[in-house]
Formats: sequence, structure tokens, C-alpha cells
Amino acid sequence: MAHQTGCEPLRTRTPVTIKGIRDGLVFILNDQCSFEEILTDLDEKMNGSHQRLLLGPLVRVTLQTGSRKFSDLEEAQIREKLSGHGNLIIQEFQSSSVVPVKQEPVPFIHHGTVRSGQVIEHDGDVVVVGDINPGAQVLATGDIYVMGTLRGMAHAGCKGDENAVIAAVFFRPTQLRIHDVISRSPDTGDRDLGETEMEFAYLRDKQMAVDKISHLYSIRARDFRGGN
Amino acid sequence: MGEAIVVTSGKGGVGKTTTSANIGIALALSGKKVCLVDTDIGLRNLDVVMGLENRIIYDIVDVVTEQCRLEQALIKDKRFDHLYMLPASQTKDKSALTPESVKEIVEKLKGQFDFVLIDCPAGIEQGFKIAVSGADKAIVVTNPEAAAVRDADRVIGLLEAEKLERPKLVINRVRPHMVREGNMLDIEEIVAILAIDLLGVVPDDEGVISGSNKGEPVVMNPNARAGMAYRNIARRILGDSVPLLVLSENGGFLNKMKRMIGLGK
Repeated sequence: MAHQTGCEPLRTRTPVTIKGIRDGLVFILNDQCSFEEILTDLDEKMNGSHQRLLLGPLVRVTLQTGSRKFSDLEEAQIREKLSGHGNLIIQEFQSSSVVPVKQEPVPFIHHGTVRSGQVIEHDGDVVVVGDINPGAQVLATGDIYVMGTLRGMAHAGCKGDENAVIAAVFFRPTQLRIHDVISRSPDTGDRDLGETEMEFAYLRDKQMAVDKISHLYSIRARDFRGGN
Repeated sequence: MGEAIVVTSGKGGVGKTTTSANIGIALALSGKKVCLVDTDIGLRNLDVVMGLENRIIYDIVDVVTEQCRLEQALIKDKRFDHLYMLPASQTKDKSALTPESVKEIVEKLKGQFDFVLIDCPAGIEQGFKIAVSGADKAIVVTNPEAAAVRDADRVIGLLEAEKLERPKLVINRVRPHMVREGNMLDIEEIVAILAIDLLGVVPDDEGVISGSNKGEPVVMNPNARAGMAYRNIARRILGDSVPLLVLSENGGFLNKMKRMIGLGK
């Protein structure tokens, strides 16, 4: 997390405010001040001005961090400061910030044929219920599933996901792209359309590979075991 | 109130004008009141194909710029009483036309005719937008070659965005022997890619070229296969269900017999 470079000089609010509540102490860490300032002020208060408060029986401490959320490292640094005083028990870090939960992207479902000159771009998976024709492009940060014939260009994992796959009932793409790997259809002849099994393309050792859709699950499982 | 049908293709030279003229005449043959509108400003040739070039006095740009009334610019066909055409301008500035002005003209024509067929210029730029603006339906013309199919696909996408009724497909210039030998895209494949309804398949026929040159579209020739194909297309537009032509050239009885006894191909 990037720190702010410092408080503006005119700011009158103190970095750390200590308040007593019924069952302990509340440390209010001003979210307008830099982390360094908070550490410094905390040091000062622990060893100077508020030293008296901190002697005595066990005290539960709640740290309110305002609208900012500390990283694990920053929390550890603060814990270290306070642990110098045996009677302080850190209960929790409270942050009013809406925790930026990583939002699961919603798949986009396109009904109908994607025609030459048309582009579908989506953050997440894309499902096309229809064909992707030559000259059309579909770009997804996640996977692309075509419930029809893929004749155009499909780019899965276009923002850097090399585990993304492209699946289609009939595979006749002009070009396939996964992450930054590009592969094009062979120049000689078309592939036999006789095959009716759904297939998917994925990256195997940074090379485009095509396999039957029934193997998608096992390949996915292997990737995740691999610690990616 | 009639309906306005735009005939378009994206790619040039696939037979938009020929198709417009032939379908128009075929509809007129069925007793419908038809008006053909040429919107290919600067490259007009619907009048040539129809054999009406020498009758042009006013054109669509004159109507839009109010140099004349719409009725004055309409040219009555020399063969059919119910068939008229509104020619494009060959010389005047085409920026005079706007989608709104053409739409207004087409609306007026729809009041007087059963069918208004709009011949669209090649391309997908302003001329295309103008031609499509007044239309209720569209006929997409393509040839059995990859580039024409690609452009037709592009145009279908644009037509869908215009909220027109689902376009219908005419595959023109099919050479059955080339399809059979795998040197030409086959009909099924084209229909599978474009995913729209097939209105008709027109075989490549020398009669089409000679007819266009003489100003007598092939549809008037009762013996030409292409003429038959266009008449069938018109019947399908009118709601009849007509089976597709058997395109094989050696379809005659004698040839069938020969094949049966192993003499023919």
C-alpha cells in the first residue's frame, strides 16, 4: 500500500489519539497522516506523554484506523510497538473502509452471431450463444466459450491470465490468443468439420494446445495443484 | 401501405443492381405496383439495366433539393404499367442526400406502391446509411466466394444494428459444377456462416449479362434458369413457398436417363 508522503503542515489533528472506553483503550490512528508519522507519534505517546496510562493492569486495546486499511506488515509494526508494553492486549484493528473485496467478474452472455467487424470486450468470462464469424473479435479477461462455431478471433485472458481457455463446439478460428500467445490456423486446407465434440484451447508450457472439453476439468485441476 | 426493401451487399459487383431490377420486374409480373429507387449517386446504373436511361429527366437529388416534384422524377417502365423507377443522379453533389430526406421520399412512395425496392451502393459508409434509412426489410446479396460472404456478414451486422427486420439472403452467380468440385463455397456453408434465411439461389447465367446489356433483365426470358430463380425469389417475397431450383446444369430428362444407364457424368 502506498503511503501518503506526509501531513500537510497546517494540519492540527494529531496522528494518534488515545481514548479510554469502558473496557479498555481506543487508539485512533488518523487516516490523514502517513504511516511513519503514526509510528513516530505512537512511540512518543507510549514512552512519553501517556506512559502513566500504560502502567497497571491488563488493558484491551482497539485500534481504529479510519478509512484506511493497514497491510499485514503495517499491522505487525504497530503490534511490535505496543508489545513493548506488557499490559496492552491488542483486540482488533477496526477500519471503516469498505474492504475492497475482489469482485468476482460476472460472465457476459452474448446471444446471436458475432459478425465481421463486431467486437465483444468483457472483463471476465464471455459466453457466445451462436457463432463467431471471420472478421469478428471477442476479447475476455477470463475464458471464452462458444456454443457454436468459432471462425473469427478469440482472445482469452487478454489482461494477463495464462490459465484462460477458449472453448467452442466447432473449432475453425482464424486466430486464437491466450494471454500473450498467438496462434493462427494452419494455412493448408480446412479442418474436417466431421468432429462434433466440443474442444477447448489452453496454454501448455506457453504453447497453444487443443483438447477435448472433457479434459478441461483435469487440466484446470492440475494447474491449480501446480500452485499457480 | 407498401413495404420498402433495400438490396445491399457490402462488396461491389456481386449483383445488387441486377437483383433489384430482376426482383422488381418479377414482382411487377405478379401484378404488384413496384418502384425501384437507385441510391448509388454518381455511379447510377439501375436505369441502364432496366433500359430506361434515355427517359431520365429528373433524379432523386432534384426531388430532395425541390427542383421537381417526386411524381415528375418517377420513370414509368416501357413494358409494365405498374413498374416505376426513381433514378440516382449521375453528376450532382451527393451530399444533398441525407438519411432523413431519403426516408421521407421512401415513405411517400410506400403510400403509392406495394413494393419500394432500394438499390444500395457498395460499401458501408454514408451511401449505405442513406439507402437503409427508409427500408423496412433488407435483402443481402452475396456470391459464393469468401470475400463476398465476409462483407455480407459485416453488412448483416450493421442491418441488425439498424433494427430492420431480419435480412434475407440471395446467393448470386452460383456455378453448380464449381461447387460440386469444391472450388466454390457451397450454399449450406454460406447459410451456416451468415445465419439468416435464404431467399433464393441464382445460378451464374450468361443470359444475365446479355440481358443487362440490352436493358432487358433476364427475368423476362422464360427459358433462362436465372430468370426462373428471380421469379421464384419474387414469389417467396409474396409469401409463397417455392422449393429451391435444382442447380445442376445437366438436369434434363435425357441426361437423367443417361446417368441411369451410366453414359452421362
